[in-house]
Amino acid sequence: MRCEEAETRLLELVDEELPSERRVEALSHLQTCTSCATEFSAYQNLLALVQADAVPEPSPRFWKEFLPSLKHQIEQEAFDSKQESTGWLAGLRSWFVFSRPFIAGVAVAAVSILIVIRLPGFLPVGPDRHDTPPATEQSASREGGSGSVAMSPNTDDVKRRSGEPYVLAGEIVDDPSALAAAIQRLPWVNEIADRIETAWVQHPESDPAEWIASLSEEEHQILLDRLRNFRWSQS
Amino acid sequence: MREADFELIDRFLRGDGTAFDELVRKRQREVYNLAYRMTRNAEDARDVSQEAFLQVYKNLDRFDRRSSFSTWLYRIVVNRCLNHLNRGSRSLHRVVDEAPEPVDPSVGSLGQLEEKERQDALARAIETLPPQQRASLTLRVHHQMAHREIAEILGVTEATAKVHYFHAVKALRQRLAHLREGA
Repeated sequence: MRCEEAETRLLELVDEELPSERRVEALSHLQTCTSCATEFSAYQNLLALVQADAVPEPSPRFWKEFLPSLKHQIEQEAFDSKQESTGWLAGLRSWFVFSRPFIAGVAVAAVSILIVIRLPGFLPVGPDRHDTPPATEQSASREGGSGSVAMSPNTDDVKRRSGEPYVLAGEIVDDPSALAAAIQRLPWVNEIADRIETAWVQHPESDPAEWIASLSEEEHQILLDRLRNFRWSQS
Repeated sequence: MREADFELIDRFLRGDGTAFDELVRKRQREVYNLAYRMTRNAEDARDVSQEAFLQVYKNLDRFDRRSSFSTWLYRIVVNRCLNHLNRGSRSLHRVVDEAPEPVDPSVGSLGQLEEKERQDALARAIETLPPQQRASLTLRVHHQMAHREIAEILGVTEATAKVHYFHAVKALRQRLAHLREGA
């Protein structure tokens, strides 16, 4: 083996990675070549120095606290990820917490659809609309700005639910926009909106009629009462 | 060792939390030492070690056992160290909570100074190595790993792992040339 070749093999020799045949050749060369032998020795010394490079021993307290500290981090991570998950749900929910006008719009849209499709047993618009009270029963005109708008042509809500039409200010509600305008101004709308929102979040593909149907009898009664006392002037 | 690790992992995956504690106690020193040799800083080494074990805790169910646990663990530690070094680590050396270095009474004060100088020069030289070379050197010299395992840890071929190692040794030799006579 010549010096040039030996030089390239020295590190492998020190590293004990040289195949046995090559190793014999290299060692044999080192016995006859002082320069390569010195080089080989230098690498050996260097690796011995690296090997002796000790890691400073941490104090006993360091090791005593190592595992508890790690476990604390694990617990903290678990807590954070739980919070994050709750936060995500809260974020999702807050995404659906719309402004009142928007919720009112949703409610109105739902009611409007119900009116249009004439769901049986709910917000019915009966074929006998001529039986409804005359327009003179209006307590105030919409344009008046301060009159009341009563959706209470007949006082029996149960009856209304089961077949009779709603009347707004003495007129049959066949114009969804009139009802929409009224609902948008109701101060309680967030209550119903919460229900609608919940139903929507859970079943976004469901029929809007189901969202409205989620209101209880009592809530439905409150809705009617509020509408009865509604005035156009209120915000 | 391999089977003992797998047994602890099995216990942990069955819900025995103490098995993880055992795994940490068993491996914490070698993990810390590897992290220290990579970062050359006690605080960084502690942080990296804890982060690595945290990662192990979260991903132990994904460990496929195609390699040994130590290879998998070292890969996590080295990757953490490489990220750490890329972010820029703290300055060199012993910053926190370390036991005082024992004094060898058999070595004279001059000898101690020379030894200290050699150690410091080596530490500085190792610090100048690129992280992959530093990892190859550490895993080879201090953890006695085969180049094949080092390659697996670094995610490179065996030939590349060898090249990293040899380059590291040559670079150190060049930078510590002034110590050659004393070494």
